[in-house]
Amino acid sequence: MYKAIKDNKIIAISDIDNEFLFLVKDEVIEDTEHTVADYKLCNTEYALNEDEKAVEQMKKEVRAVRNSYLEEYVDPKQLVLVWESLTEEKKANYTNYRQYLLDYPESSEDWYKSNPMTYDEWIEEQ
Amino acid sequence: MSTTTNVEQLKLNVMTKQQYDIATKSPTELYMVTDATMTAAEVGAIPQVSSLPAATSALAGCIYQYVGTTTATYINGYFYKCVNNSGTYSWIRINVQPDHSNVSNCIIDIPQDIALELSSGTLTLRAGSKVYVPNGSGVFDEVVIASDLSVTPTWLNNKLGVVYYRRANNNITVTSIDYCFSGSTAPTYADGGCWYDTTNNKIKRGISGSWVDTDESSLPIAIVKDSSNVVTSIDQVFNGFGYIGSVIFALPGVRGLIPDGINPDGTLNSQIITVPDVWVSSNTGASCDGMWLSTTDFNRVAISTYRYIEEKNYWISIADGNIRPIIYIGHTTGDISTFSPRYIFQAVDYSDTAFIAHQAMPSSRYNTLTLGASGSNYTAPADGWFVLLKGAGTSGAYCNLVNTTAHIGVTSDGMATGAKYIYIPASRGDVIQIAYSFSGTTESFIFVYANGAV
Repeated sequence: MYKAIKDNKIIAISDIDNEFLFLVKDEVIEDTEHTVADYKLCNTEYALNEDEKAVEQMKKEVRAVRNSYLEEYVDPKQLVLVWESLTEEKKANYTNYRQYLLDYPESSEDWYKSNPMTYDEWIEEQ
Repeated sequence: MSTTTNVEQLKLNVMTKQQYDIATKSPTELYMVTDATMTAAEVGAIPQVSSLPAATSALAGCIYQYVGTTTATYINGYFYKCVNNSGTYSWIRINVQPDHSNVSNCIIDIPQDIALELSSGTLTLRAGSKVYVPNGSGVFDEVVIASDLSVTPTWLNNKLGVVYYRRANNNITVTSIDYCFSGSTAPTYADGGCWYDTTNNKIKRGISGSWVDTDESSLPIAIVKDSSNVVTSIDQVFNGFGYIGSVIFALPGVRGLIPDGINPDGTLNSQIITVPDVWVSSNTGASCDGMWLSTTDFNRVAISTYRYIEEKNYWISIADGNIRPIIYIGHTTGDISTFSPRYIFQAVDYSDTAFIAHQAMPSSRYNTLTLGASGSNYTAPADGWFVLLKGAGTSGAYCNLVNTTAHIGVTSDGMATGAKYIYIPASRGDVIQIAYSFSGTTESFIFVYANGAV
């Protein structure tokens, strides 16, 4: 793979592009030990997946997905009129799914390596 | 001019031009030359002829434009002057059209020697096309194709293809541009590949595990585009200029006007340059982004090396301020992926607004780019647009494209699903910054050239 370097930061990576056309950069270097999949985009630079910077970025992204699921699946059901129209079973499901999402970042050591389940996926597992 | 009045007797001398040339003339007598032929300047236009008359003393100095069929001696469209060479008269081709005083710093002629056509995936090089086979140090054999040659490539696998002629087989073939190289040392072997060995001036092909020159391949003649193993378009025909790997070349007959100052009457002065042989430049490196034609060579040098002084009509070297007899031919890059030689000079009709407006619109030509991390900068290689199609990943994510040179920008807010097209215009040399929190898939990131920049 190839890495474009600017100000000592990895600003672009590619398995095939060794030129990084038109990108403002200091140099392009080849990395024979890794592939693109081993790197994570951390805002303004790339870092190896095991780097603290990359781990924090992954946590941030998974939390964002978690938050979007709360907004998409749970929050609309909490409106009083909607909530009252649900069966007791569904009320219990949404309550439990909400707790599952809230607890997700503490659910395991590697929680940030995959997104939480959607509501439908979670229901299937129950 | 002098005027004499009150002449008592007016003497009129009637004679042939030959007699006139050797006669002792009197300023007070008139002369009538019975067999004089007007020069082009005298009649105000260059006569066109489909066959040149025998060169004689009577035609000395006359200029004709030859409009007959190109022969081994005369080329259609070129200008010929009758000259006296130690008492023997002959027609010589002149390298200048009658008046270039209002034009300079441009290409004025690119021979259209290659006639390549595409039909239903089949490429045909027409008979009469002219190609050049590198054949040892400094030698390029000119080959005129005797009969139509066709090939139907089914092996390019969505890659650009380089077309060239193989003299030993008398056919044409196409090799993926990824397997075309140049340089003084052999590249890693590529089966079916094509390497321009600059040390030995040979095009070598990868056959049975080694690089060999048995095919006697020509310099590339065109670049074609492939889609699912069918050639769909001819992107560029190498009439006049071409490239292979990181080597560029100019072909015989390319003519240009090298800026050479301003005449006392304010008109532009130029040196006419006609490329006499195949001129090759193997300069490489990221900084060699300009192509330059001089009186002695065709070379790759950084665009920033020279500056054109318009009010004085010449190029100078920025390093030492000295005048350089050169013409800027166009833009290129390290291992060439963009190659844009200028067209021959044509005046723009200001009333043709449709044509002018069309130049500022997007063309179908583009380069595929790699998107860098947020905040990375990109330099526009020409007038055009940076176009990004990327997924946001989450709602509320953003993507900003800012032209930091022109101080304009565009912002897109993302939706959780789907990708968004975002684009920003850029003039050549403008720096674009792309900052984003979009985390979805980058579907494509390209630079699209304006019609006028193709």
